[in-house]
Amino acid sequence: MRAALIALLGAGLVLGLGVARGAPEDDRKAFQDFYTERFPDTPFEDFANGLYSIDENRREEWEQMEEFPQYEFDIDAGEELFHEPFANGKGYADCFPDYESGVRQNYPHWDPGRAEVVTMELAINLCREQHGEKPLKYYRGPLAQISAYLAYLSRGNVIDVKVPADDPRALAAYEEGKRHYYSRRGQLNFSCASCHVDAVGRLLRAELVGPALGQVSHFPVFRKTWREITTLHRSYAACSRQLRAASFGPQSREYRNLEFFHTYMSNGIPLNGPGSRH
Amino acid sequence: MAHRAGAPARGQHRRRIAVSAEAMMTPACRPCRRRMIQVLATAALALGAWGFAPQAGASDEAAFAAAYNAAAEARKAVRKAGFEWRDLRTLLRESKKLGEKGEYEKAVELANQVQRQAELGLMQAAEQESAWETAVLK
Ligand code: HEC
Repeated sequence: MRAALIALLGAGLVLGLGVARGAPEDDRKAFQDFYTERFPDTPFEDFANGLYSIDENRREEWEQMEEFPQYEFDIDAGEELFHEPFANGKGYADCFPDYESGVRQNYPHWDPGRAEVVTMELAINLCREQHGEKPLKYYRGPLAQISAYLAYLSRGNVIDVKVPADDPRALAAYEEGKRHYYSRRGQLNFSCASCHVDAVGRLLRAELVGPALGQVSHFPVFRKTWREITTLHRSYAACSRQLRAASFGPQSREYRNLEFFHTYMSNGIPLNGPGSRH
Repeated sequence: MAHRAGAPARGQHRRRIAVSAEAMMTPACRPCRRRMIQVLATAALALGAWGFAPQAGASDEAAFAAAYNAAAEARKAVRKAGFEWRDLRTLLRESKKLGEKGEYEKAVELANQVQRQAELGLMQAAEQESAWETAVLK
């Protein structure tokens, strides 16, 4: 009797939450509508170019950068690293059999066996661990280069993140990422949305704030100010610190769930990584 | 929540004892004479102990330890809530360094700053518990 009551209460709660928070598809539609209405001159696919999809002058500068992109060296280095066999004779290709036609569009994804969100970068390290190799550091260096190579092979594939409806844990991870995106944090009491939604297209201390739609499509990114190829979570950390909050670790559960939500919002945008940024 | 850091500094201790002793000495307070003697005896003991204390002052060190521990606890709590502010780690580390050098006053100041920011972060966490939803694009 008591158990039945608790179950009933639980079901009511889940239903209530479901109605109040809306399904991922409703979120995605509202999110994308916001940007396409705010920037009616930007074709949908062009949001893949981030900041440069909404600003003419910066776009010209960036197009020059892209003529001789500095990330080319990293793609080559990533290719070499990718094909270097592990000590056990296996290689990355055993973990990513479809790498040639591109695999990045499937990341991040919910892994029911691991009961967590797996990103491209985590998958690379899981592959290493599975074959007895030490994991690589996440922000930069070899892992970012391998990621750049895989991104390059995935160019043109369309982001297609799924939140499996039959696994409430996947929805919970998505919700956690969404909550992170909209929660105000840090001494400035800003959320990601305070800047990338509310202040999009405006100057913030001489920096133009880019749209969140398409923001993930071009990673990893060669950032001129950092002078190296860097992964998405390094940008997350930089923005966390910009709002004067402590950052979470690269590939922390928080950032992976954030990436899950953030990337779902860009479903339908073609991948164009790696990219050059200031 | 951990209690507010910062045991009173040396001078404050003495003043407080003096004030209460004075109050007890008014004629209206005859029944508390025994209490007064107790207080004076404690004060004398404390002063005596003082004489043996090392140069830096054991009570300063204790005050710093209390402030530092309270700050570290508060930081742990706000981290757990996922709302830690950016500078807590550096400030806490700085406080520890100063404490080890015996610069207790500055060290306590930094520890108190950490505690304050940690408490603000916890308030922010409580507020965002529902406020985030109003920001969602619909
Ligand atoms: C104080 C304003 C501000 C806040 C708050 C903020 N950002 Fe940013 N963010 C920027 C600016 C400015 C840039 C650089 C210009 C651009 O690409 O938008 C940037 C860049 C980025 C980039 C890199 C974009 C690219 O194309 O390379 C990502 C990803 C990002 N932000 C995500 C986030 C996330 C996630 C949050 C919340 C944790 C967040 N930002 C919070 C201002 C902010």
